Amino acid sequence: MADLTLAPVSPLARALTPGDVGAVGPGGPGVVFRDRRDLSLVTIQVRPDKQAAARQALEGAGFALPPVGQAARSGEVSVIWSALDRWIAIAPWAPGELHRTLADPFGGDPRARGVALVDQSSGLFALQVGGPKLDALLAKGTPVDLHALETDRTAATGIDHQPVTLWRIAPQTVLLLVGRAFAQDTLEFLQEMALEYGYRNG
Amino acid sequence: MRIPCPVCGARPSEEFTYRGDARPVRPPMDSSDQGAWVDYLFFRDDERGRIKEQWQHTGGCRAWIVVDRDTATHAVHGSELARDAAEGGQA
Repeated sequence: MADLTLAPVSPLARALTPGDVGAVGPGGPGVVFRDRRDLSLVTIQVRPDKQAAARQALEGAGFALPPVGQAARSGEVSVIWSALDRWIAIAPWAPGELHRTLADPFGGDPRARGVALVDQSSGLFALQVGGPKLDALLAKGTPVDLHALETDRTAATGIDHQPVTLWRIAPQTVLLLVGRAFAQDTLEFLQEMALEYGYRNG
Repeated sequence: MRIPCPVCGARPSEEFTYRGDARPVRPPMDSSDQGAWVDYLFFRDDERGRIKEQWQHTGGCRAWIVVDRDTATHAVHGSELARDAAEGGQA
């Protein structure tokens, strides 16, 4: 019988072929795109009336639920604000591990405490965008104030009409979270906008 | 037009989806008053001036908000979360 096991494939397998494209100058590319399939993503949605208890439970395990527009790092796990009453936990861990780690402080049954933990590692796609021309590139597609989006600040906004979450992980690097089905479209928009700076698919 | 999201701050209107007048109140679910249901579902006043409207920040934090907007000038006078407005009995 044929083996029908399907290996996971990045939605960017065709759009993110390694190499330099566009007007790359002597100083190197202005923008670098990187596929972050290595990250596990778990959304944490908490009922408004259960947030104090959820916060306390997570803090006991060393995690924080940061205020609006901020990110909190704790070792390899980062929790970023992403929407009203919703956060996204991100870690370079094996599938399932992050979800189990976050469910532990709720006795393994977060639903009973008004908390929904959903593994979105396959539903959301993490694209890392960096380089000296990062802000010039983002300004072409998003209306948020990029000066206010400092390191470890997050914003829920849109790029090219697609809802995205931006998290600035370093002064010249952002992690862009977008629905998997829109990942290629969003990347191709950014690539086209980055042609004038020259970009590298890394 | 810029809309002040109570969560995210001022954002352009393209990030929002418009629902409509925030004032009509749904009749009780067990009501069989056809007139009240028709009013609630189909009739809006289309007023000139300041009204309360429901918008959703679909291109951002996804929150439903109530916006105090002037339909003649597009001036926005404020906003609040729809759930807060509902608790205050305004929406």
